[in-house]
Order: sequence, then structure tokens, then C-alpha cells
Amino acid sequence: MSTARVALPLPATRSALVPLARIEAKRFVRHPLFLTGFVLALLASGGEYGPVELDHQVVPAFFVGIFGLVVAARLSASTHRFESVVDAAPVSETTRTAALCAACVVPAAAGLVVAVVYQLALGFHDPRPDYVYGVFTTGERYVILLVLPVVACLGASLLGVAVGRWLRFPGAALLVAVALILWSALAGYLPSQGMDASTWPARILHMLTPYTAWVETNGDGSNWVPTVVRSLTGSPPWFAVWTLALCALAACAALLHGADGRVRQAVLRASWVAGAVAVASMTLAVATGYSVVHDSTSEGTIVVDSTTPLAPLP
Amino acid sequence: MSVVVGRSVLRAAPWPVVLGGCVAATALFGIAAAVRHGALAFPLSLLGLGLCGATAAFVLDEASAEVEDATPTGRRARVAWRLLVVLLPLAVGAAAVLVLDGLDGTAGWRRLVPVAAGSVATGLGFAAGLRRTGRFAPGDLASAPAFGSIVVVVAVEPLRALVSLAPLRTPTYPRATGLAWLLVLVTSAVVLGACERDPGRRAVRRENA
Repeated sequence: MSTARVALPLPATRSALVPLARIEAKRFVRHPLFLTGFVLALLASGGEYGPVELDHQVVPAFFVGIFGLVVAARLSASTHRFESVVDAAPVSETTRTAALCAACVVPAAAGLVVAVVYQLALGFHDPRPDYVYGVFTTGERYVILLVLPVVACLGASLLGVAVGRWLRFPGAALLVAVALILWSALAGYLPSQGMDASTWPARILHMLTPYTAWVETNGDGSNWVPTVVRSLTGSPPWFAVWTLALCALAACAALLHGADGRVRQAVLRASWVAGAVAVASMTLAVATGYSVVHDSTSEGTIVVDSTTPLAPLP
Repeated sequence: MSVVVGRSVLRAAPWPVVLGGCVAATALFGIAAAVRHGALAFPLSLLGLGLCGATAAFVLDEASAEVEDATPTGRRARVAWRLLVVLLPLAVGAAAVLVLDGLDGTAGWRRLVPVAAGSVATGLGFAAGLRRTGRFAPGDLASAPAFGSIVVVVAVEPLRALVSLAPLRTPTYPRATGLAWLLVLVTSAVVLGACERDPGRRAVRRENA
């Protein structure tokens, strides 16, 4: 008996990934919900109306990020109905999920566009006084203004892919979005709830969230130059690393669905690495960041008790 | 339109999503009540009201609408029965703000009752519009813009120069606010009526003519 060894071509994983990612990116860009969010974010970034500069990250995070989460979940779940047909294609589910994850570059780019447009729009107005930036250094401002919004948009969309892969009940994406908003609102604005922000539990909770606030002001949304800016605790650069690690964990969670054999092992290993980075960066964000709350006014910056309410606008 | 038909239409409503949405909204209102004196109480109750609207968007979901359209029970009759289900998220939203008002009478939480009605109407309007485009279960898609629009429009108030949509802590309830929410209700009702026509009706008329 003789045996013949035939060299079968390996599954064209890598070669299929790029065209698939391109297709998914086009689907993302053309989705009406994504376009609506993007346009609303741009409209909310064009003038003086709205949150103060260091709080502007909420605009792309909500309009592009949260809407992107729902869009990504819908795009991921859209193949469920045709699963039997799609599964017959010579592309694994992991590759299709990886393509969806790669398409999340679209909302990240949209978030960057919104942040840059906002900075350009600010250039047309009078320069803001230095105290509106609180205690944050120039580098930290760039992280808050340009890096964190992009990471928030990317991470929310990656979470959307994971939601679309794992949760198959109607309304799952919206429920996760609401949970995300709730978590971020409660942890990000701890001083608003009367919690002393300089205690260890408060400092940890303030960082242990996918989105956090860095300043509180006495502005009312219609006046972009408040008289008091309260800088909250934590380290913006390490928080950026933490949120990037969360992005990686979300991507791993999405890729884990349908993965088997060596791919599954690789994804699990990547999850452990991302988890370790997340724990380390979280620890550093709490330990090396600002540990007390500061109030900045035109007269200077002082350490304050965060439970003291902000002085109202004159 | 018999009660038997109505019972079967109601039985086919997406109860798990509707009940799940109401429970989630109740949880949000519960947290808002717990922090009712803090700055987060209003955003949290607004999220709850938005979720009520998003839940209402699921009420028109009929995965088998193509089959049901061929039955003697017309689309409008089925939608009329389904509107009874909408009362649930509406009741949750309205009751929650009234309970908040009972707990903290200084803020005027009861003024958010029209927001609850407007939110639910917006959800229904989006769902009806999407159903007209051939999506028989539009809830999943309609819930996101319904939720987003209510939360954004009330929180950001782009028309604040003309009208405040959630006037808490003001001495009187502005008439313009009531008119604005009435406009939302009427618009949603018109969209619902226009979009929920029986798909075959127009063709039959032409044939008779």
C-alpha cells in the first residue's frame, strides 16, 4: 500500500483578512447610525457651546463611541441569520471577527477627526486662560484631548464586536451601552456624588472605568470659560494605557468566539498579556497620578476637599 | 377586532425585551433615587427615560409580519393591540419620575412626565418608520436612535433659546415645553398612522378603480 501526500494549501487567513477588513470598514462607514453620530459629534465640536475643553472627550466618546458600539454589534450580528451559508465559506469565524475588529479603525479615525476639528475650531476664538487646564501638564492635555477620545471610540466599537458575537438577544448592544454609560458616569464623577475623591477607594474607582472625567467646572454648558476648574485624581497617560489594554481584552473576547485549537490558545495567551498590562497600568494610573483634587481659578491653584461644592458662576 | 385576536397579538409581542428594558430602566431610576441630591440624579433619570423609549421601539417587532399581513387581521389592528404593550414602559417612566418627585419635591421631577411620553412616542415613531422600509423587527435598530435622540436632545438642549425640554427647578412649567412635547407626540402619531398602512391596500384600490 502506498501513500501519497498532497500538500493542501493552508486556509488563506492572512490574505483574506485585508479584503474582508476593507469590506467591513466600508459597511461601518456607510451605516446610517454611525454617520448620524459622527455628524452630531462634529456639530457639537464646532463652537463655544458645550463642555469645557478638557471635558470635550465626552463628545466623541458618546456620539462616535456609543453609536459605534451599537453599529459594530449590528454588523457582527448581521451574519447570524445566514450562519449556515457563511460557515460554508473558506474563511474561519476568527478571521471574520478579526476583520470586524480591524474595521473598528473607522470609528477611531472618526474620533480623531472630531478631536482635531474641535482643536481647529478653538483656534478661531480667543485663547483660554491657563487655569482652565487645571493642574495638567502639556503632555497630559494632549493625552486627554487627542488620545483618550480616539481610544474610547476604538474600545467601544471593539466591545460592540464582542457583544455582537456573544450576546444574541435583541437590545443587547443598547443594554451594554447603557451599562457602559452608567459605569463611566458613576466612576468618572465621584466628587459629584459627595465622595471624597482623594481616598484610595475613590482614586481606584475613578480609574477603574473605561471612560473617566478629568475636570469638573462651574460652567453651565453655554459658557466655555468657567471661573473654577476642579482637576480630578489619576494619571492621564497610564489611564490611556489601561484603556488600550481594555481594547485588547475586548478584541480577544470577540476573537474567542468560534476559535479553536491553536488559534484559541493564541487568543487566550494574548488575553493574559492584555490582562497583565491592564492590571499594571491601572496600578500605575492610581499610584503615580494626582492623588488630591485641585481647584484652579484666575488667582491660582489650591488643594481642596472634593466634597466642597464648586462656587457658582458669578 | 375580537378580543381573541387581540390576545394572540399581545401574546406574540416581544415580552422578554419589553420586560427586560423596563427592569433595566427601573434599576436606573433606583440608582437616580439613591443619589437624588447629587449632580448625577438628572442624567441617570434621563438615561432611564431614554431606555423607556428604546424599549417602546421593540413593541412593533413582528418577525413573521409577512405571514401576518396575509391574515384578516390588518396591520393597523395589530398595531392598535400592540400599543397596549407600550403603556408598560410609559408607566415605568412616568411612575418613576413621580416617585422621585415624592422623594424630593424641590426639584420638580414630575415635570419629566411629558419627557417619558415623548421618549416612548419617539421610540414608536422610529420603529414605525423603519418598519415601512421592510424591516419587520426594527426594534434593535430603532432603539439606538430613539435612546440617543432623547438623551442628547434633553441633555444638550440645542433649542434652549426657544424652549427648555426638561425645566426642573423653575418656578412655573413653561407652556412652550408642553407644546414641544405635544408636537413630538403628534408627529409620532402621524408617522405611526402613515407607516402602518396595510401593504396591499393601495394595490387593491387601484384594481377596483
